[in-house]
Amino acid sequence: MTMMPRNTAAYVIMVGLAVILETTVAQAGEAQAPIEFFSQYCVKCHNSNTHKGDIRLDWLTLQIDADNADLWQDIVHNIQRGDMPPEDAKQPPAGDRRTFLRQLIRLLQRYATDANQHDDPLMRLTNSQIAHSIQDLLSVSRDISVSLIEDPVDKHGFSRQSELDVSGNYLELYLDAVRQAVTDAIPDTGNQVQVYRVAGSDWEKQHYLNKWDLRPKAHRTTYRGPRWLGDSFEIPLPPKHEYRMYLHENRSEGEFRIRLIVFNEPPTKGDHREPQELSVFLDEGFRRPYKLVGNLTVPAKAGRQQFDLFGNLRDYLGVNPGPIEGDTTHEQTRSSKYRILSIQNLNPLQGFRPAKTRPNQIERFAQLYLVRPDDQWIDAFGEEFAQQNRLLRSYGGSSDINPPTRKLPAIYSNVMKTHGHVIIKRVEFEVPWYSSWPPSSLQAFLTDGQLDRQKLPDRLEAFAAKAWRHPLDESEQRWIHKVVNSELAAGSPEIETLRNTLVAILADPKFLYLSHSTDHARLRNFELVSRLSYFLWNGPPDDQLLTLADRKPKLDDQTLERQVDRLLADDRSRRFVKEFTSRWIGFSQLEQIAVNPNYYPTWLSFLKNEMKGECVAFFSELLRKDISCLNLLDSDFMTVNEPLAQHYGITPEVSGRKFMRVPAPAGRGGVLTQAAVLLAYSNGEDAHAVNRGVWLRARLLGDPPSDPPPATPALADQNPAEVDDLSIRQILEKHRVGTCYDCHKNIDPYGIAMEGFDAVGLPRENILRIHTQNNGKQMLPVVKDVEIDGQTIDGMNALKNYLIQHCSEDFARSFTRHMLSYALGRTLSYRDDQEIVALQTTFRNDDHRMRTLIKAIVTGPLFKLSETSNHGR
Amino acid sequence: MAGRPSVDRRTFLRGTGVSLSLPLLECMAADDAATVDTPKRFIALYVGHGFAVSLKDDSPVREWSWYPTIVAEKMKFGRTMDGFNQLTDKVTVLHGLEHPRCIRSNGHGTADSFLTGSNIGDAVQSPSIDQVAALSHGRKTRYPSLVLGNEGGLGTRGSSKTLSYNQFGRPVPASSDLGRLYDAMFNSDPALQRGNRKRLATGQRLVDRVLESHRDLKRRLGSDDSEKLDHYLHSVRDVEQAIERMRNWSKTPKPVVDATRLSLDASVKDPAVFIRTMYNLIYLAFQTNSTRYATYMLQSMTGGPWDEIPRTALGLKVNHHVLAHNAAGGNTDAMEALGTYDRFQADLLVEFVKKLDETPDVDGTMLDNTIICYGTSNSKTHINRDYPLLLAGGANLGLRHGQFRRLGPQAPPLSNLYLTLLNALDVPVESFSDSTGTLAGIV
Repeated sequence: MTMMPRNTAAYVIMVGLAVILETTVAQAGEAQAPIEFFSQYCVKCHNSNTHKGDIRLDWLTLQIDADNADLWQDIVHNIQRGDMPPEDAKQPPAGDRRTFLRQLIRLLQRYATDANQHDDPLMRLTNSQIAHSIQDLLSVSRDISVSLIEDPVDKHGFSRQSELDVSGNYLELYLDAVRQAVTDAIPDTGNQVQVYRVAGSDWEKQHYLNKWDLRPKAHRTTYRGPRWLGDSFEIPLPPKHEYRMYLHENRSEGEFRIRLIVFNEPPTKGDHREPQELSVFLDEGFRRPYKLVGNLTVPAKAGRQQFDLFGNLRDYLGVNPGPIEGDTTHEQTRSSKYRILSIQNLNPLQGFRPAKTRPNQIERFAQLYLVRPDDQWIDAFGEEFAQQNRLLRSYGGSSDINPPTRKLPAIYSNVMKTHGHVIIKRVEFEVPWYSSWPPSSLQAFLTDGQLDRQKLPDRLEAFAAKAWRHPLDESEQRWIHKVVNSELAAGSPEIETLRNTLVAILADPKFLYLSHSTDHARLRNFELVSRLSYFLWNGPPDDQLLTLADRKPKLDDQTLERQVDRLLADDRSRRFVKEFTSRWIGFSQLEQIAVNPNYYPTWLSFLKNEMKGECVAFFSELLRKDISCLNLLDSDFMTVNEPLAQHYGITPEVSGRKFMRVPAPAGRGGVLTQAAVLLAYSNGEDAHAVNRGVWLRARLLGDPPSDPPPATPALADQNPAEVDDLSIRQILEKHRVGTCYDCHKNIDPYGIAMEGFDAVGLPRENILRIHTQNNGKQMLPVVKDVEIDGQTIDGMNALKNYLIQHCSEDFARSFTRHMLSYALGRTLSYRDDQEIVALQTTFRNDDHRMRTLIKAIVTGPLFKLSETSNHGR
Repeated sequence: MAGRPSVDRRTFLRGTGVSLSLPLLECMAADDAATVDTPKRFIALYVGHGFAVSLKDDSPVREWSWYPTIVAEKMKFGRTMDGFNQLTDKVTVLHGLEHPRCIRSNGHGTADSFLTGSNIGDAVQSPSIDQVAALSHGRKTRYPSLVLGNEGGLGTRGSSKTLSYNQFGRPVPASSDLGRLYDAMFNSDPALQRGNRKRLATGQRLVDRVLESHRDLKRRLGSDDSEKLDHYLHSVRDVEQAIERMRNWSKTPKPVVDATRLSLDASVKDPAVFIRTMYNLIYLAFQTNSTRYATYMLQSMTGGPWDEIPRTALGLKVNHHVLAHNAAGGNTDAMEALGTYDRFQADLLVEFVKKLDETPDVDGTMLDNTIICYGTSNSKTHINRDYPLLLAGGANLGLRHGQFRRLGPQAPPLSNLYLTLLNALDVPVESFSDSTGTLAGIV
């Protein structure tokens, strides 16, 4: 028995392309050159007479097919490495060699793209599309994509959706996850679930402050009465202050709702209200206390305002799920049998020194003062009562410094004199939370509040029509009846029957795969609106789209364009922006970079999320404001939130976790100076000029360099001692000798021009190098001047100028290709070229607006899979 | 089951955009569950972020180094691995091996590849060593293999929480639920059994219904053949086979073990008890021949509660990730701190090894029939070379022990060791991942 073959990776076995390739070669007018080169330098030794190394090449033709693709690939690699022709043989001129390689690589790439190009009528939904569909169809918040085997990512950011498939393993995990989601949606109605609820004035009794209050010898554990303020209990929360309470529950799953009732107050010495930026966190236990539940803005208006935040405790892991027993809060702390709920006001604080909070590896970037509830009781019941009950006023030091600085007086009442603020009137918490009982997801199947086994099939048909994205025909209806009946016959109670049938509907390929049928014209409308919603919502079509598909004989372009506007205006289009940005930037690459704290001691791990947020907010701004995508190359604005602004060291008026548009300071702007890009294409210690260069060429110029031949050693691997003291440019100059040069001369310069930014995206003058042998530290000067296209480019700004001036066409084409690939769910081939040119022209002529590009794609032949398109072959 | 489509197992399946033939599936049917032979077992154990290592004998931190010194031609372990001093003739320590394709992987991205040797960026991913073995002999036991982890689940690409990858190179989720593991392997409670049977029956009905429905889809698609739909059917068949397999095994009574000393409700709050319980479950699984292969991710590189145990349970100041980074500087205190954590893991492992060593088995002890491979994929954290590795047991499988082998810069790929171990386990493969041959001097 042998292991699976290793060399089948690049070229998939498909047939029938030879003719096309031949024509293409002939059209290009280059047909002769490669053949001449080949016979002169290769076949001379590897022919029927002198088959050196037992390799014969005289039978090979340039019609690349399944039988010879691997061999051609080997030939390319051998020539690339300079192994062939051997030293003692006649050497080709460098120019000829490059031309030959370039032509051959292009042929191989075309072959590979074609071979990957399925003509399959089915395309599996991506993991995130599946997850969103389950959420929408079942009205649950569970994100099942985390339980599924990850979809492969394309390193150049194209969609490979058409290559997705399922395996037994995948299907098993999927079915498990779907069963859980279905159980979320269809809970047992008989035995009521144990609900944990903090409601009314209960929140007054839920106070844990910090770990110092909970030591065995602390002044008290937690205040337990005897007197309460009841409905008049309230907490003032001015800018840069935090309020915490704790939830006496520790389950590890369940939908929850947090309800805040607040007032937006003007300064006590003034009457001007400001919008207040609040962030709400829940802890994850184990002293990793804060995970964001949500951000909200309290508008500047008088009166009671109510905000609801939702989530599922499964996303806030780390709390010990053992039974809560005993009454010693200290024990509960140690074993993390409770959760902290934190509310932070992140508006700017002016005229006061910031609190001395240590930002830690937890999600607390801001320097915050703590507002204790004790003040309320002390003010109401007096100092004597306070002493008896060991109450302690808020203090002006920090809550986190070890030990807390309790001597400083609290500043919040002073802050409120000059700052608008929030009064928290009530905090409610409930888990599990259902908007109604029975939950709406179950109600859809009830008849007069009961599961009626006669009516069940009808209700399930309606569900299946949504899940499968088309009206059911007779045989499908029969199938539903059959499933229900076989469940009932097997003795399942009604609720089990319902659940099992839902799982069966969601296990069906009609749910898991998008289709394009050739024979059933009636289905095409439904298939088209499905593609549209999975493109722009990354989720299933809504009733309006399905109704539209049913009504119209054929969807015309005006209708489609109107739907594009409607879909983009809908909240669900955020999913599209996030998904597209994620692939285009390469968030999965960012995830894989481990920042080395030996190099960046102040690094905060949650910043990665903020960096992603910046990119998504930037794309969102381009789309929502309908402004030119050339802003990606350089822009006079950026989208940051407070932690990221702190990281960048810029001081615009940014407060809170929400991303806002601010003017870009000198040196920033565009995507190249976004930390997500700079970090994702670093190695976590230093910038990585090659990775950055490859990214820039693939994403911005649409010209991804081909992979290095297998087993190419990295420069640093050859002799670490030799490169330790060299600047990156000097190291890369070593590329310029020998065969590496052909590719690297077109990659490295872009990356070197970005050397002025370190791995975490900050500008730098020097490069820190820590030697692996002896841990010695060394500072090397940044070298960032390069020559590109005959021009001297010195650093990032010059690079951006160059791109704007000379590469906007390349960029437009590249961006068009990425968007088209995303919309179609497949990589592109030369057969799409005509359409790409048309789209690119439309895109460019309308000032590079994303919306225009999207509309052109949606109304174009490739997306509609019209008979005239190439794909419908 | 009338109307079930016949599935041609030789059909080429498409995994992740590449075509893979499935020679491995062939051997699945080859072995008959009834065959009785000496169980040759294997377990791989992994700790992320790297150990505290120093090889300089005159270094002040040498006593906290994971590697032994050589005294009178015998291995002498320092404070970290002290427990192994009583087992020196049953263990081998290896220095200098690594997966060449993963050297340039991310600093914390090599847990995925520890048992596969595949760079996570490669189009074709190798299965892990345990899954290759399970494909050969897994049918002989109730569970082809156990895939375990303290955190459990899959993790993400480059931040794996499992060590095992199936024949398509896709991750197999790790199990971390002590109670469920016990129930699955040993609990014969009638109510639980009924529940299981019911689940299997429900699963079978689902499979039947889906197979009926696919014909409908075929009809809708018209004349076009869909390779995807064929693969979907293969997958349904795989699910069905798993159900059938479990059904068959459910007719065989589960082994009876003494559960009174198992702390099945242990959590990360008390990591030593948790890990010890997991080791005990593995021990019982091996002893009762419930499985022959196991992987156990003791420490992934994904952060979270288990990364915090040095602080929450061992009295150290920082989490494991930071411990490893601090120690990379070579500072004495930092080496001692990481060494303290390394010792925590080593002591628990020693308990497990000794327990195997004290339990009689066919032709000797359980240890003699079990290969243990313990290690990490960083020499210093972020440096994906020279994995510190320890082999224990397997004397009956031909493993020779008692040596500290430094293989030097010209060392062959780590996959050569894995190939050697696979052959020792009677898995007749000729290559594994990027192996170039077997590794001399192991057997």
